[in-house]
Amino acid sequence: MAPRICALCENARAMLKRPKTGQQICRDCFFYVFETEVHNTIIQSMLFQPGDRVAIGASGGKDSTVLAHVMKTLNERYGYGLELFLLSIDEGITGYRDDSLETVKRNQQQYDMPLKILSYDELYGWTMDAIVSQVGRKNNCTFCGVFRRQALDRGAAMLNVDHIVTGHNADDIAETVLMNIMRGDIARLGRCTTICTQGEDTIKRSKPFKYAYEKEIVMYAYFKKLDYFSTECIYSPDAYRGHARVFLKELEAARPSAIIDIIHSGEAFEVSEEVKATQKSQQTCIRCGYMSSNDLCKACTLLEGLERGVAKSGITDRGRKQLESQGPTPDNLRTIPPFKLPSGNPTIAIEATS
Amino acid sequence: MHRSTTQPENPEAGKTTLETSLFGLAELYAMLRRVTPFQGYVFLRIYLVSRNQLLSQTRDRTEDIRAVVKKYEGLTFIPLRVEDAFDRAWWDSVGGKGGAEDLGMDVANEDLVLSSISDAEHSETPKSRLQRYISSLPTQTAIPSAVQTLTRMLLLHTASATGSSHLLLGTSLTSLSISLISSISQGGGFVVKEEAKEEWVPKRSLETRKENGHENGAIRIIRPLQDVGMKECAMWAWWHGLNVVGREKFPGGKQSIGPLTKEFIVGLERDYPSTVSAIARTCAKLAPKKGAGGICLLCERPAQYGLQDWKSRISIRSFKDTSTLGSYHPPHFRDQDMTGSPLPEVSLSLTPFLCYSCHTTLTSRSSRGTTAVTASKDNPVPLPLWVTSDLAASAENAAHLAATRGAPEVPEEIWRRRKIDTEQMKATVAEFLLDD
Repeated sequence: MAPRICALCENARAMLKRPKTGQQICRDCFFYVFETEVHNTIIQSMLFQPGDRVAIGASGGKDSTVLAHVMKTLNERYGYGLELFLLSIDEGITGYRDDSLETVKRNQQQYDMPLKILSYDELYGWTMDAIVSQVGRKNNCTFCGVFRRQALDRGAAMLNVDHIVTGHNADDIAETVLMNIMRGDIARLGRCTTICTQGEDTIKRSKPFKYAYEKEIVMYAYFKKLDYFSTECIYSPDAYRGHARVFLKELEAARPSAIIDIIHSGEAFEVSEEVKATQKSQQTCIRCGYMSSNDLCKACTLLEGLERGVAKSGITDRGRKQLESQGPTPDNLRTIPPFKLPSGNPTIAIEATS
Repeated sequence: MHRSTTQPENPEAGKTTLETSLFGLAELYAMLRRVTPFQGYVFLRIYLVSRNQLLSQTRDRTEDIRAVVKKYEGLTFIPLRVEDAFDRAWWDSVGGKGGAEDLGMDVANEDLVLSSISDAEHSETPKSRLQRYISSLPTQTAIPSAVQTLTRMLLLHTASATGSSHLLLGTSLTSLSISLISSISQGGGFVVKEEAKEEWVPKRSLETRKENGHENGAIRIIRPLQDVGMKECAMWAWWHGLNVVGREKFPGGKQSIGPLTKEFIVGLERDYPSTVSAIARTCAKLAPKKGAGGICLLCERPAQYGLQDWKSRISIRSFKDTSTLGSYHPPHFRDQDMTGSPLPEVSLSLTPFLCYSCHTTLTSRSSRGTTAVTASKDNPVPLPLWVTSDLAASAENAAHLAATRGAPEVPEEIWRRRKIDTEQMKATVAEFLLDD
């Protein structure tokens, strides 16, 4: 049988079938379309300005490893004029983060980018292992997600960057749309397909891989022989998101375009005006100064619960009432350090490449 | 009204999994008539024997349904078939005007180019046209979606023709949640509100309907059972001894998005009991983003325009459209790969007239394939008559406008892009170039 010819260049031999389009194409065309689609996403959304300092949220996993590679490639190819950094968060999960942090350190060498690692322990005084021992395995993702989000912003502020980019891909965003509908989280649903978010008191955050399929990211890493660590969080199987992920994979099997179709749906609707009027306006936390919908931000609320021995006070009404019954917050309670937006000078020394 | 039920899973155990039961509504109607003078409401019963024509080895359940409807006073039974969407006799009976049976689409091309159907195919029966339409769909999961659209449009056009003000559908809270997630999974986010509540404005009999007292001329689609869970419907039907006729399932089973969604939501409800109501409540808080450009010709729901641009930005499928390519070209490319070859002859395409969901149903492919026959521009697939009618009306309007303005009847101005190579550039500025 004659070898298949690439459907794009109609010249080279087809080496793979694109999960996104089903086209049979050669390896070089795949690299080209993958990188160009990300470039188109960046340009059409006007994500960056020349001179921007951009922190890449790096976990050592496939998404952030490929993101670092692609951002470096596109920055050089198209002259974005960006200063790129790697920012990694150590959640303190034994056996999970240890190996992936080593991958991030290798990425630092390979891509010649400064690296900053910030840990939950140093920021909050609690590791995820310690939190799970208090909370159990059902609500632990709430803690991790809230703490990581704030940790990324704080790390970015320390580095004095203008912008954080994360490796969230099309599969992640489609899962989030489904998950927020099923859980009734209307506030998050209204913004989860936005490619770039920025509040008054937060650093700009973008997802250049918004339309990139997870399978294509893996394929890119495979053909480029990129070094990454594939480890699933040991606490994640019990998470609600896991249900949405399984469902999404079934949908993708029935129709590969389902992932993009869900993203399109998410972009096509918004929260109705009547509901927006009832939503809480954003303020800053009275304890740490981070953005918040209430007097205390979620991270401070969760941390207070941990410190006072009522870990679920930030999650369930019962826990909240139990905490309130203990009386007012003690003065010597451990708190998160005050948050300040980038001032112009990095407040910490960056681990430069050797 | 349209009825949708399934066979009980384990009738001997007394447990049923009825999805909806409009016979429950009929029962309520009968009870209310005994208790109070119930004036002015006419329940229009329509049962579509659609699956009989699409599924082999299934029997026609029309007479079973007719026998059940007979038990209720004041109900009129109007049977339809899915192939009526391609039947001139039905279209004429509902006041349809225009509509060409000789217009079809090329589903092998994402532009869904329209062309004439040959005389031989023109003389096909509605049933064979339906079968060609269904068998041309690119995935198994597209079949139930396509049939659902045809069913809904048949109901609406027939309800309009009978002077109805409301169309009642037997959607339970569980089915509503399933259809919301299923619709969103197929790109129907723009019409998420219409899944729960909708007003359909008929194009053809609008003035007549307004004269007859119908507010805005619209038909309201109501789902009276949408706050009642699936199991509650089943219990109510069981206690009232309702005769559930049931229906067959489409081939492809759990490979389709609808059954996958149902299995997922019903399963999730066990561990998270408020899932079904959370989905319905959340979607009720959503509204379409601004940017509606018109009405989809196939499902006649609001459509966002510009879907071709959006899809072409999201994924590069060809190097011929140079607008999506960057300034960088890898070394393995040849010049002719990047040169925009002359665009094909301007042809009428159905794509700009469709919403995202309908376009995806007709074009989005899977490696699992379907039983699809090979479709091409030489073998166009027939279209439902309301689509061809609207296409003809659009063409007439365009010609009329051109005529009244005094302009010649020409197609709208079309923009065409093509890459200019070095030699062409040089030819343009040749007289200004100095010798080296």
